[in-house]
Amino acid sequence: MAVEAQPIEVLPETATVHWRARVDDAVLRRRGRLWTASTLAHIVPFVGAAALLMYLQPLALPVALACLAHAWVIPELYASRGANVLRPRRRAGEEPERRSVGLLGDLVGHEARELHARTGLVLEPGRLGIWLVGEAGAVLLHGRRAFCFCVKVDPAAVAAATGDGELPSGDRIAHLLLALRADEAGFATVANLSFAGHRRRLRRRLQPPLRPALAAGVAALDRRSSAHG
Amino acid sequence: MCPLDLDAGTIGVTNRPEGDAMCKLIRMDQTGHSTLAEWTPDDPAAVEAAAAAFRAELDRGYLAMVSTGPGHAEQVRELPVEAPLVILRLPISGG
Repeated sequence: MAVEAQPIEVLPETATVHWRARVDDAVLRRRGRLWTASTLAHIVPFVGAAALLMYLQPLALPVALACLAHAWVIPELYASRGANVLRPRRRAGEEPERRSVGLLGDLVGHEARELHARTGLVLEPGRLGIWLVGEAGAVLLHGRRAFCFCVKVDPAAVAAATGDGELPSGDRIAHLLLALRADEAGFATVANLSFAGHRRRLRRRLQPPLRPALAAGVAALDRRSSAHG
Repeated sequence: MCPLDLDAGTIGVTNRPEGDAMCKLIRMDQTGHSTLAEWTPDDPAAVEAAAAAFRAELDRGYLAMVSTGPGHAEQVRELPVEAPLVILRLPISGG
């Protein structure tokens, strides 16, 4: 007969991505800088080409404008991809949704419950920063950067466990929340980074109903920064 | 009476069920969640039944979690008999 819990400190799912460096503050900063460099690598050639065209031949203005449009659109597409991790997914039936949201509500505090009711996202403070957890991804607010992670309940595991069934929204979030709470660094390691950039860029691409959650996350991060001097 | 009214915001507040309260093993699934077993630590038969249900779900690929306080959870491989609530979840993966 089992009598005692034996806690497991590292998220077992990290074994499926054993080649990845375990995420910590330094890894996050490095990945953030790489994303900034990558964004600049997309912008600078187009802006440079536009400037060169205008210098060589002012009649090439339409082409130069097209270059500038590319310089603007490509980073926006990346930000949009990041915002998509928080997009609500298809709903299950009314009763499963109600039961799942009831369980999720019991896992979080009053403020997070209220925010979830308004936005569908759960705010979770972590050691790496402030997390916003959605149904198929999570955003980590870390300094001025937002790291958008695509992560969800393994579809193969869902299919094996439920047949054709789908998990309701509250369960999808609760799965991620429990994994995050068990091993935050492991959670960030398993998740795929889909965007990293200034949180203002993310805000522009978020669906308006989700923006209050980002504002709440930024406020929580600011309170933490103030408390730590 | 079970202290874990799943609409009442009580999970993770205590590590032990109070009084004669029941502990619960629940599985997150397409129904929202299913209660697989209920027990009290001083009822060996109920604990054994819960442990059997627990092992069966782990064999199916579920992972077991217990809340260890606000914002904290632990994964366990054996049924924590004293925990008021054990939640079974599926593995996650990068999208």
